[in-house]
Amino acid sequence: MIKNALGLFVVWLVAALVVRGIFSDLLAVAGVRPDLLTLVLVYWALAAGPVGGTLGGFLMGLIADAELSRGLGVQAGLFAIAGFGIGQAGRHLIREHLVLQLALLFVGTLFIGLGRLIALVPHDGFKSLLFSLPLLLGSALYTALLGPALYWLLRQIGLPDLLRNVHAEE
Amino acid sequence: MSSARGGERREWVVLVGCLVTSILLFAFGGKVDVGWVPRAEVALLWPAEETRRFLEDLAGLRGENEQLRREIAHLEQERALLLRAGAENERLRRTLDFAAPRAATVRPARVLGVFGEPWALSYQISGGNDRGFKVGQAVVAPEGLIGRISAVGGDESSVALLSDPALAVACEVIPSGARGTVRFRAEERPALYLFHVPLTDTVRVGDIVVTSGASTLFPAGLPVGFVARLGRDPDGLLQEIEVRPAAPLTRLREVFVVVDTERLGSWQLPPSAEVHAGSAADSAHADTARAVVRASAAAAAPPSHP
Repeated sequence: MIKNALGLFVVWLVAALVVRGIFSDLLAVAGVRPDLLTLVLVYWALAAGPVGGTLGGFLMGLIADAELSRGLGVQAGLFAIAGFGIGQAGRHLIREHLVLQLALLFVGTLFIGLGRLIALVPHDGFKSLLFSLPLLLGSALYTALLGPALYWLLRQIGLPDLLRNVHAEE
Repeated sequence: MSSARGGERREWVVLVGCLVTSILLFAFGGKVDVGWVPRAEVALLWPAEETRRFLEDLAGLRGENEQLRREIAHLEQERALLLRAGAENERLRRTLDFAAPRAATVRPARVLGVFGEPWALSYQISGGNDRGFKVGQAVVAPEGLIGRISAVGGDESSVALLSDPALAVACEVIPSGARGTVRFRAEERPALYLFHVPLTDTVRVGDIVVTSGASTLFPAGLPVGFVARLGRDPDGLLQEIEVRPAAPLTRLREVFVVVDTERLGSWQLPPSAEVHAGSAADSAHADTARAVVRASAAAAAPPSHP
């Protein structure tokens, strides 16, 4: 079961990296892009629970840090915390609920984005933060809308419900 | 219950472990080489990236192809216009060359219509009494004689072409000087023929046929056509020589009416007419035509006294 879950995680992660790397321009709306890594993390954490979410988030964060080539560990920590929190929420709430997914995606993207801004953007007061906040809010909203839409679409075309069938810890 | 607590503890341990690792990486990870991660990503994305580029190129090529097609169509239209303008330019240039060296007074006229079936018999041309045109005046083209005016209206005139069997022109063959009458014959083999040429006169295929000085209607030396075929009349006493017209009777757009009949003299062959004659028949025709010009000039020049 764990092997299956890991395989699925790798597939999701690779899919996110490919989509982000190749179709980033196509997905942009008025300069706002969805945070696909966070999107994958949220659904992975909902499916795998707190431990899987934490480890998956940590790995994703490391990749994001390596891509940025500075502040190694910052995004790893942020993603790990987000994965843990979402895994906990998924344990106590109805994971298949689209509104819940929307809320978690919005909060998760906002949390990771804010943390990234605060920790990694050069410190020149709150100027850069205020400047980037609208973009971050847009990205969070975009991601929050895209996730449930994709989830619904995949369900409509007959794919199995990943959130029901994959539980790395069980 | 205990397993649930153990599970929760494990979750927290994992989280704390990840966070501690993160902090350690942040603090001491500056020397860790993580450059391989982006490189691995690039390698991972390479096939998809290549596919995307290929699709983009394909889409771009389709657009470019469409644009090129439009440009080709546009250029084709421009080319057609330029060819037309070039042809018109060449025609007008020949017309100017023709009009310049002449001795007689000519007036240009535009061909309004070509009439006659199954071959062209007459032209309707612009200009009539208003321009001083009169019945019987010769009508010429840069290449040579084409006919004479048969009727004159207020601002239009009719021209009987050489292909009208009713029109006869006194001619001679250059260089032999054989004389005869050129007339169109519709029977048997419809064509222009030079009649009444004695058998003793030597005529060769390709010789130029020009108007002779015996004509009171046309200037002497005006090209009429070229000898195309030799033959005899039914009695076998005279030659019947088939003549190919020098001027393209059915394709002319501008012609000239020789209005100054009192000043009729030896016709000066324009340079362009030589070229055209050469292209129409062969280079021997042009040589012959030049010989006509030289002979005419020599005849017109006053005798020199040493």
